[in-house]
Amino acid sequence: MGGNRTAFLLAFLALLLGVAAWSALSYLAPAVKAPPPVELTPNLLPAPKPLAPFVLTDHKGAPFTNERLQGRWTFLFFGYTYCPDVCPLGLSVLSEVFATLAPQKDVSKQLQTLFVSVDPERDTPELLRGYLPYFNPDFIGASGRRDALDAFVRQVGAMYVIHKEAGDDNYLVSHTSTIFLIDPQGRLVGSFSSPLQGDHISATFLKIRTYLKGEEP
Amino acid sequence: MKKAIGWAIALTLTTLGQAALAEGLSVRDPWVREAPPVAKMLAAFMEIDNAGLGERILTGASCDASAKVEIHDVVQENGMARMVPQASLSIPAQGTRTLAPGGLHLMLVDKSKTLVAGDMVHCTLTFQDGEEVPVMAPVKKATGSAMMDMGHGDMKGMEKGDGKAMEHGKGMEHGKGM
Repeated sequence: MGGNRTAFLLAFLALLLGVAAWSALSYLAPAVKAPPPVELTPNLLPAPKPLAPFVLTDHKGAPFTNERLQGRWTFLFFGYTYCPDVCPLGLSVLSEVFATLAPQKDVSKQLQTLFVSVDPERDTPELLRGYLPYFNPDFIGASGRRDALDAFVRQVGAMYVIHKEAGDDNYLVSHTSTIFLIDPQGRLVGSFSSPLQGDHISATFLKIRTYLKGEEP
Repeated sequence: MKKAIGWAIALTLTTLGQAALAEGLSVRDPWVREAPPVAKMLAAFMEIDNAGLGERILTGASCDASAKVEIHDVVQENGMARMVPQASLSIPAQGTRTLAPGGLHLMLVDKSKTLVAGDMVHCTLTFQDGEEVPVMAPVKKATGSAMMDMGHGDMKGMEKGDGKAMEHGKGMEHGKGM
């Protein structure tokens, strides 16, 4: 009889342990993030990258800092207004993305596009003010002093090279043509590189948004 | 039977069409991308067909919308787009050269007037042998579905770009692209 009782006690303890382990696991589970869908891996950073404090000047002459990234999904694109092909193309693609997502009000009210000019000598706020509304009246243009601009470009992981000869006012600028995605916490989370296609970017963005939302507590 | 007649007509038309172009150069679907009014640069795109048996070399162009026109290509390196001026452009024998968004284009430098969709830009392409081909390119508003068909792989710029040196004031070798 005594042996039976011991066996029963042991079984009971084992059950308790099992329940405890199960509770602990289910408590910890949300912290273990499911891997992203394979289709998103080309567009997602391995981990979101917080952006260090920066100060640029927007097309209205107001400061554009990290705060302006809070609470919004930001599509970030680098370029310059003297750019004949790549920049109008990228901005047209983003304009299409905005048109595609416009009917989804809960999404579209959270979106913004930031066009950062890497050519502040020519791209004054005034010029950006005339340039961007052509693509979308809500697009934001920004640039800054060379040191502030370079710090921002570098931390995003972009590049640019100004090809200027003395006296040449129509010089060219090479620049990263990738569209970067910043989440509502102001963290760099993904990117889209060429070939840029509006429908692909819209669909992928929605999936990234859903995936990253699942990560939040 | 109807199908056979249709084929016969199609064949005849194709043959006639080719005969008409047998010797030379022709330009298909030329267009200039509409740009914001404040934009200084414009880009023109087209397909240049060479029906002849010999290679033809495009050496320059002029348009009535800007004082200067340059032949450019866009090259993607590590996620960075670089414009490469081309001194000339070869149109292979019995072949086609496509100038399209995100790649080869004619850059209209410092536009002389504001152009909107529907306007017409008159250009002249000049070839090495002296032949000049007139082109009437309508201004069109580009849609976002145009492809930037170059470069491969996302996130490239991010992996390799961080911390890379940025050069300022370096001259590009104009005209040495080819």
